[in-house]
Amino acid sequence: MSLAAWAADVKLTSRDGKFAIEGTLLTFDGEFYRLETIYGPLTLDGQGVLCEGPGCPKLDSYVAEIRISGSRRMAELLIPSLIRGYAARQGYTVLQEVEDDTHSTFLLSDTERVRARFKLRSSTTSEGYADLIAEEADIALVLREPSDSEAEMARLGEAGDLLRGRRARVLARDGIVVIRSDDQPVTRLSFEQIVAAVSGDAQRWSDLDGPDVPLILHLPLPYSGLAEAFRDLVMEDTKVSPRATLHASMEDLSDAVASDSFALGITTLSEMGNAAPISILGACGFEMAPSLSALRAEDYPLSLPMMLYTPARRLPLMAREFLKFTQSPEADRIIRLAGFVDQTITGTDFKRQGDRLANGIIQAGNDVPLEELKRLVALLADRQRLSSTFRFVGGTRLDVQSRENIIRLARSIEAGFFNGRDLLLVGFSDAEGPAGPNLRLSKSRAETVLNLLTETAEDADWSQLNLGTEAFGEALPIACDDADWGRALNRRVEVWVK
Amino acid sequence: MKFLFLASVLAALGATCAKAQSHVDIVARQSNLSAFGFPCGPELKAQPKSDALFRLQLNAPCMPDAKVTWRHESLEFTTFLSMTGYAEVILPVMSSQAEVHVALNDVQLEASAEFPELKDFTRVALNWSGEDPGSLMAYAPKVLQGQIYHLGKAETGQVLHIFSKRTRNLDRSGVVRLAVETPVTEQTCAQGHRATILRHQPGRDSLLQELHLKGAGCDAVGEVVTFSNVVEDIRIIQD
Repeated sequence: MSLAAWAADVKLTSRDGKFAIEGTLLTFDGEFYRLETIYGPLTLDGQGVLCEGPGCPKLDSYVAEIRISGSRRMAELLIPSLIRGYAARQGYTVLQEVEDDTHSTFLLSDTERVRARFKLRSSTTSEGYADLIAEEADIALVLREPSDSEAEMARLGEAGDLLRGRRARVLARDGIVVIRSDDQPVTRLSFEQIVAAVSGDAQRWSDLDGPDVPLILHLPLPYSGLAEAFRDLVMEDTKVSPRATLHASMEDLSDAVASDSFALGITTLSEMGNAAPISILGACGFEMAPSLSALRAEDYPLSLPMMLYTPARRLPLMAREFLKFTQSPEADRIIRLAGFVDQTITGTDFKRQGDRLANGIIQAGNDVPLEELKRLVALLADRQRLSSTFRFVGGTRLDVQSRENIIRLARSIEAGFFNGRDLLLVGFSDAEGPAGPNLRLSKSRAETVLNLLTETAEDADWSQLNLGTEAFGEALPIACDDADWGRALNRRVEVWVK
Repeated sequence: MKFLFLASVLAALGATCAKAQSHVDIVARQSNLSAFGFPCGPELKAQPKSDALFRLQLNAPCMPDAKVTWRHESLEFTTFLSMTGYAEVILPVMSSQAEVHVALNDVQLEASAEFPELKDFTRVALNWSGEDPGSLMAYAPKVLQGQIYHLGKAETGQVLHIFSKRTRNLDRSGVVRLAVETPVTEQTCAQGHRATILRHQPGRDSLLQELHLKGAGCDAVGEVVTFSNVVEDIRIIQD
């Protein structure tokens, strides 16, 4: 229990009696006392001290309290399943106390008594960050990285620097999907057409090469994590149509779209419900259909990472165990069954990359000689591509999914999963600018990933495997280079293993 | 199918007909017959049906109107025997090796059978305990619409609702929305409801959830509260 309510004078004395300090108890997490003292807040290991005074907690009735707040997308299905999975593994029974559709408490008990309360509040990504910053949540459920102002507020408060250390964990991935009803014949749209529809510039389906009927727009609430991510990835500075019907619940949104052949909506792959997806068409001819397999391969451009953010302060032991559980193979299975893409590293054979390769060859510019494509095929033909791909935001900073990929891949290497194998980090670039510098840039990105991997996998036995880099510049584009999002997809480092 | 009859007829008689007052009743007891002239039993007939349904017929002519508790997996519901001591239940089973335990006063009966067909079905059971139970609601497009079985009588306290849909070999993705509606009454406004959810879905482990739906407050008496996020929707994903 976070025992702010017990704030009162306490005196902590070391077991040998040589050291004592007085103060006001801020929290006790079952292991550690946090005390406001004349020296500022101090954290002391409960095992090393004796507590005296009216503020001392009762050690044998301690119940861990873990407050989780944020994105509805995560709070409704994913987190309850993970709490139950964690409880089952630890041998706890679970009673879910439901206050209303957005507030639940999960009581975890052993045969003697309640050991933990997981309080779950379902709201939005922004509210999750706000609760984390205000110390009203121990874990925030978010669909995007913190904004500059959120990061700044966190830095000034107890939550600490959200961008440093392991504050973020990517749990799963979902995709942002444009949906229609089964009866609507338009099955693919370009980014420009999607922007036209969502901004209200296109008011009829005929403006999108469809039938001459009105286009009815259904969107998530503007301050939801999904809407924010969609704005960042697709709309950028273009305003959203004021005529759209806004939905707090993605179930309601997809149900509304599924039952109206004039409707177009924005939702997530997991919440497509009974509506049908619209593929994204690149101007250069790439068509990308939203599917779990495309998301897993990181080939679908509108990926939505589902993340946990934690504050810099120490969390109760049970919270830390739960966080660890969320990164386990058992948790990955729960995530998969819930209809999301988990973080398990999977491999795809070269021969199953036919479309990708064909698209790449068709789109390859004049700067890519045939010799280079032959070299690529010769090098990769007997390898598998891992689902982990690394992408950069700005110069050399990896995006949050790629940082998670580094940790996952490093851990697999440490565990000996790739012993006896040959791992090749292959850098690619977009086709903007001349080919020479692009090749050099892709090479240096592959080397950056190699350095990060070797730094992170501290306990790896490198004599057991080969790890090298290779680069092909703009040789194998997976999206059109005529848009920012396409270029961002193309700037990548892939991992090929044999 | 295996049929077990655990109670001896005499034990049943002693337990159930002892309070009989009339002359006719006494004659019946002496000859192990009910007031209508049928053998006292009790007897449980069990018959597995298609679609993973279990037909259960309980005959206890000497226990007219008696309360019956039916238990299956972690679920239970209660009904009453008819005036002639008869009850029939069609139970959508929640386990392919299904066992049903029946408690009738102090007599225990059980039946079991195998239901290999269950692997084709998705089922979600909502078991209410306490007064004024609510309902399990399901919303789905036509092709995904299933059936909700209502078992048990509300006035006896234990009610079981089971949603059932054959989901194997469906050729489309989609969602069945599941929600829980509860009436706010004098009895439930403060304390709320206790309920259990048991879920069977092909390819997934069975899942048992214990719930406490908190009271909406006694100002809300007469209203109906809907919980849309308490029962996980059934998602059918083709990828």
